[in-house]
Amino acid sequence: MDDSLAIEVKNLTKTFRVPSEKRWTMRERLLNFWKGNRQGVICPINGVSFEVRKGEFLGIVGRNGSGKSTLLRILAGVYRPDAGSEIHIRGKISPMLELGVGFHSELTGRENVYLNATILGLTRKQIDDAYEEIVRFSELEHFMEMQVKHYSSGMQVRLAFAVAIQVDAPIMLLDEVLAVGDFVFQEKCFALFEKYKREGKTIILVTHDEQAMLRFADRILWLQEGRISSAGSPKEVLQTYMQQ
Amino acid sequence: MTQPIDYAYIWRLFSALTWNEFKMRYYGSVLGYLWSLLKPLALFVVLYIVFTVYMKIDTPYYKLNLLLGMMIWNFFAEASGAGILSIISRYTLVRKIYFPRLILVASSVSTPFIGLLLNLLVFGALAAWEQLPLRPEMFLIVPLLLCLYLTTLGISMILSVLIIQVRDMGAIWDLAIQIGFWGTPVIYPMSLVPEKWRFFLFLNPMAGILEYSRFAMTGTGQLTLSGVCFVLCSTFFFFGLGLWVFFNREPVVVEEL
Repeated sequence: MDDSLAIEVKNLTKTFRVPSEKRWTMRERLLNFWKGNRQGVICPINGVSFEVRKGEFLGIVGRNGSGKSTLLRILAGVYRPDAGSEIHIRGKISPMLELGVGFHSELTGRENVYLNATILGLTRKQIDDAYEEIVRFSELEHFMEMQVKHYSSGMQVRLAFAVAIQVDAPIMLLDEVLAVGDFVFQEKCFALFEKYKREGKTIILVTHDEQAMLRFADRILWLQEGRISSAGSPKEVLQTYMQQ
Repeated sequence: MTQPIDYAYIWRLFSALTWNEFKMRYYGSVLGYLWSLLKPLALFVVLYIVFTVYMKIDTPYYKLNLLLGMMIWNFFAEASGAGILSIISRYTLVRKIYFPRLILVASSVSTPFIGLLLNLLVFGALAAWEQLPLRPEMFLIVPLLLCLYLTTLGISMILSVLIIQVRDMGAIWDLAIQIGFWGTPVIYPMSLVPEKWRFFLFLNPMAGILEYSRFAMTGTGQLTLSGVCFVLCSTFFFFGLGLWVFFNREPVVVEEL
């Protein structure tokens, strides 16, 4: 594999078996035992190949249900791709960063910071060191000892974001982080993207925000029904994407 | 594709999850622990009165044996009840981040296990009060607790992936626990069971562990070689089966949540 590549994906396919009528309970299973589960197949990712260079900012666009999140989940190791798919990843890949993952409403803000950061791979020491910064960034100085269930959704998002940006991996997967939050929050995200780019991180961003794409992405993939419809410079791809 | 397994990360995540569940369960306070002790203790008092005053069971150390049995059974019921839900109740997390799913099951079994260890201190205090003689056999409780933990973990691993296929497994397991309480020598000693039924009772993995825990602590009942082999074999069987089922299903579990 070429040294300058961070991610190489060849012929990636993912199919899910979906029972046409899901039998959830024991009774239904027993009654229909001999029938077997009739199953349909859906294929959210169908023969996708692409490469991401080290330090590249790759944007992925596509309508709802085009397979963007499935693709990211496969890269993050949550879903296992079908046989025949080839994925090579060079360097540590961050978990798929989506806001608010794993917050526990009964725990306080502080406890959630520690738990969430641990899930995302930080050590105790790293969290201790970053704690002040997380609190400052989320602007929740007075609420850290409060249970998260009393937080507003905006507060939760801010805290989740402040924790998520502490993750340090050469390859970052970001899913719809811009979809939530106001313009101040967006500016914070943009400042973060700048920082990542300066640090030479490889970034894959899924978003519907074309302004952010134009500003940051080096290249864009357009997914349509599980296939790459086109790939290239943000301007060109977005033009056709917006016109469809 | 595969990233190397990071054991330090697994340990950090396991201890963080266990500690947080422990805090939530006991509200981070001594009083919280007392509340959780109250439930088995109240049932213990009721059963003790019923079975000594009305049914006139009079076996040696009945009180201590009953309490020990209730604590161990209570652990099994709580741990498997939490274990069965360990994956399904965290599906938002499981669908977004990959980490070895076994951590979830292990931490939901470990939290009640810490509770059991605390309860055993209470048992120790009562035993001292009752002037239970100290014997070297008491150390047998350590391997027995290990068997108990592994058996419960194995059963929880199976249940936690089974419930994803069969959603009413939770209700079925509740029922199994309720029947199991009477089908296990919790409130009665094995010696009250007619000889011909004992074999069937021993098929229940908890029966042997419970009976030998009593032998270790109070010296009631008897230790037989075949019985010890049986406990060891059933521990390996349930833990092994659990691992096998779990790791077979782990990659696809997330797709069916």
